[in-house]
Amino acid sequence: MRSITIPPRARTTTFRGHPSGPERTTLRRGAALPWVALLGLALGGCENKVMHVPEPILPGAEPGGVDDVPEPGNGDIDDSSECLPGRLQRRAVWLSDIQFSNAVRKLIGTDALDPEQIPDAAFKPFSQKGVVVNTSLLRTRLDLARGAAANSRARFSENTGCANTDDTCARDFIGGLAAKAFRRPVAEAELADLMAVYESGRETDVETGVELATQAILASASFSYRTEFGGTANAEGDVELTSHELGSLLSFWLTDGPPDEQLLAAAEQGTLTEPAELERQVGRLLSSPEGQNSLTLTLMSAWGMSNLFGASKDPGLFPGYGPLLQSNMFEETRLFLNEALWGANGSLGQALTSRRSFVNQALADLYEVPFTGTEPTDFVAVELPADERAGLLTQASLLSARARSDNTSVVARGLFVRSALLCLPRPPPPPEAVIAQVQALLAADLTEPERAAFRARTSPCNGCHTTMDAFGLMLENYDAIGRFREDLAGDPINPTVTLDAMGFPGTFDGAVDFVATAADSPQFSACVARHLAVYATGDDSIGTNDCELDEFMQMVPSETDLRDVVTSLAGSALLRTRSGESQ
Amino acid sequence: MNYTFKRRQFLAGIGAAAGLCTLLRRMERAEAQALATQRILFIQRPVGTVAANWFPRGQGTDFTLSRILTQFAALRDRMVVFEDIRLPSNDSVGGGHERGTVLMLTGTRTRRLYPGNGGDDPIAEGPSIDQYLVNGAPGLSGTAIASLQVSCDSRADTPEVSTRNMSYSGAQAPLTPYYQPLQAYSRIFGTMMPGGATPDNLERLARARLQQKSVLDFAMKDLSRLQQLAPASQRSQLDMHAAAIREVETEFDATPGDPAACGVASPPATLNLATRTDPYSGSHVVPERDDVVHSQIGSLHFSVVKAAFKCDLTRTVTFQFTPGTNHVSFGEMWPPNPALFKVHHTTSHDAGTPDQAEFLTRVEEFYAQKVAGFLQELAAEPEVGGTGTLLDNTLVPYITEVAERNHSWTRMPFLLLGGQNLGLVGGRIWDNGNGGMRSSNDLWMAIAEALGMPGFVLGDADTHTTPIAGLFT
Repeated sequence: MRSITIPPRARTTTFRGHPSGPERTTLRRGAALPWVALLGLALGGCENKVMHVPEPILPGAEPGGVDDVPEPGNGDIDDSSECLPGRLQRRAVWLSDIQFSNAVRKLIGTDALDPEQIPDAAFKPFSQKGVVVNTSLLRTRLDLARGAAANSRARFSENTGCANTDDTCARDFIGGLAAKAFRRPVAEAELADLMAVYESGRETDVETGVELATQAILASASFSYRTEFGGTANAEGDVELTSHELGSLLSFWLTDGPPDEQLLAAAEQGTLTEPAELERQVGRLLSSPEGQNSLTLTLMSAWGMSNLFGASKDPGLFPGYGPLLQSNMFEETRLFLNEALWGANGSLGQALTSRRSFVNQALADLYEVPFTGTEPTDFVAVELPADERAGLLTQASLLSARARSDNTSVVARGLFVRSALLCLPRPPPPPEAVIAQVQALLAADLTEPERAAFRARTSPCNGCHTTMDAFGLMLENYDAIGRFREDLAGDPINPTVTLDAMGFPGTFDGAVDFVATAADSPQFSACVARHLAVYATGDDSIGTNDCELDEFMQMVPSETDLRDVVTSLAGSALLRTRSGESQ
Repeated sequence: MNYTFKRRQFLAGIGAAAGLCTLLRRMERAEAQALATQRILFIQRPVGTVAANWFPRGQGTDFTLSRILTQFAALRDRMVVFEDIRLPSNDSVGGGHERGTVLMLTGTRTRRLYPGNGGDDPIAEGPSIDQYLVNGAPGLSGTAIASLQVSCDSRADTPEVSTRNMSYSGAQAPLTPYYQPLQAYSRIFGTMMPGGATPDNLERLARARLQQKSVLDFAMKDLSRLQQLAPASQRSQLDMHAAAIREVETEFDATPGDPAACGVASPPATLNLATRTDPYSGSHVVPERDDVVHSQIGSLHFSVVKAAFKCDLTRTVTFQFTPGTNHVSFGEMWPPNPALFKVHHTTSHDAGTPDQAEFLTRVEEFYAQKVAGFLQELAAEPEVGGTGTLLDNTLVPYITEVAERNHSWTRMPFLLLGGQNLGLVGGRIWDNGNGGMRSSNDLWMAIAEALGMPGFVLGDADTHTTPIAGLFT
């Protein structure tokens, strides 16, 4: 039996170039939140590891292995993190498929790509760190570029305003298209190279020349990468992103699309790097339904909501559950979050506490609330029952995604709350030595609360499960597809839990009772900020205790206002400064 | 570079009937090369085997074929049956089929999972063996298409990456397979105009290729500018991008092959790929039968592969029947009621019964029969400009991502077929004596050695030892 008494880790902060110097001391978030230290104690007994721990999947954990669904990028504490302005190095960043697709359609037209070529935003990757361009990826983008260029040619006069014999007009058009596509000024040499492509098609006619040049623009590295090379390095070798680079970062981060004309103009004028203009532009992007919906989907991606589509259920137990209901559930959560986060009274906390949701007939039946829509497929606003529902944690989508096919899963739900929602350190997987017992426990004829009780009284299980199971037990009132229930196997369900070990002192009478406390906790808002920072930077090692995150969270006027959080993050060194040391 | 199209250049370079001369060129090239053509074709089938019906009785060259391996009876002398191979699974992450698929060919420990995707979708941490071979084995280089990846079914439990891909050019860089045989055909033979290889069509095709080359040329110049500005830490990543451009450029440079001369006169039909997925709970009986179309897609893919081999358009292929979580339903195979259409992988998760074992065995026989039939076709096709048959110059590992339905990764049911001219000593069982299991990496290292890559190692320091000795003369 392995030891479970590992002393808590000592945390230190190191500073590049000043190993022991105090000059650049930054207050760590942990210092402001002493209760986080308690978590360290609790997890010390759990042999807790830091980021990059192999995710805990048991051999043969299918179907779905829901008990061990990893929370996407839970941002555990990283001892080695350095409190530096330039955490990230200068780099080129590859646009994700959805960003590429949006950029093509913005540039060429909304129908530039076939519908089946457009990625589903519901599945957008939360982090695509490490994606490498190979022939497969290159060919895909070449084909998309060829198709979009042909599409553009079909509206040649309308798009270019050029006659099919006018080379000068064609050159101007190509130059303008390249500047928009590359999101920066285009050098004369670049235009000359594009004109060489044009000439190869011009032999046929101007239209062919423009089509080929368009294809070359869309298939180029300058289109598929955005750069973070920055301007002139300061004395420490760090650089600030240029105005154009900042514009692209903001736009792809917040809208998954390229900068619009206003953002490009601000970049062009060099005003975007000024705090007031930056704040104005971010505010503008966050006011657009496009931007709001994009950020909503980003958070849904961070919370792994697309796992819902892989969460199958026993048709005997849940006959109405299938792809259609899964889509309905996902759509409900998207509408719910858009309202909770961005509505008139929207706030981060509303995402955890609001009872105003949107249901169609099938979901109204599931929630057992009246349906007021005209068509069964209409989604209409509804106030969900006060004693049963409150916010994201009680949405059918989340509850279904974090459950097994025939039962709930205290562990999967507990891990979600712990890691994805609150970014508390993720416990390690069960040791190999006890995997057979774990499988036996899962196969045993027990209820989920009974299994949790077994883990709580059994070593070494209790070393870790005391830090997560209670989060799942408070959700036992919701079955494997999120229906509310009072009883389990004839006995009343007791969702009352104590969460002292997780840093939330006191007793909570189920999820509805807990969410108000969670919504007010700095850990929740820091966790959301962490997810947004990861999406902006692709750096999934960012943790809520990292000083870079702390730096701007201290500047946020109101931690529960998502707009404030985003605006502060946009102005932070984490986003805007890059290290030039590897140049 | 001036891309202005010169008809004279075209005519001088290709000749009026160039498209029909693919095989002649092939012969000329073979004569000019000191090294004989070599190929490797990885064929995967899903969900492992039923060990009792797979492993032969006996040892060495003295053995009796098992029930499933009887399908390979005609190839017995050209095949090695492996007894003691395991996947290097220690300390890695990912689900049963998911992890197995990645480990099978990359041999490198998986450490991270893709977010979402069911929570058991591991990220490949390095290139797969086929891509190492493409870049390192002299006998595999020099073709228009460096390598080809095909698969006969795209369905998996979630939008996961790991089970859908076998080949990786690098860490987290899957080479996505073609699901439609027509896509593979178009990649191999380009887009031939209606009317076939007439001079006018060839001229148009050559012009189109030149234009596409100008696009790639800009892509390379643009990337070069980016490379100059990027920090050293990104050099290798951008170098891989540049290598990908060059590889696609090579394909454009190649003279178009004539599919008719290579044995596929008309493009393959586009078949409807099933999209239904089957949940783990329930009977795993579905209303539609998939195996008939599944079989057709496999045959069409095999036809394209054979044509590509015959005309030497590629020498490295990874062929996947289905992702390991196979959603194909099979008719006439469920013993209690052959009229039912049972789904392969989910049925494998039911409690073990004799009926289930029989069903899984029959599916194994289905795949074995398809593969054995195709390999016999390769064995009947003379190597143009070379010695022996296509099969004699082709190594064919027949593999799967788990040993059995319980997701074990020891005693993997692997075969190695063909490759007589590469020195493979067939007609025997290979075991490790009393030495226990050997990592599949040791097998791939032995193949690399046979293909002219001595000293090549695959995987982490603790997931390989030395190349398995004695497989090749």
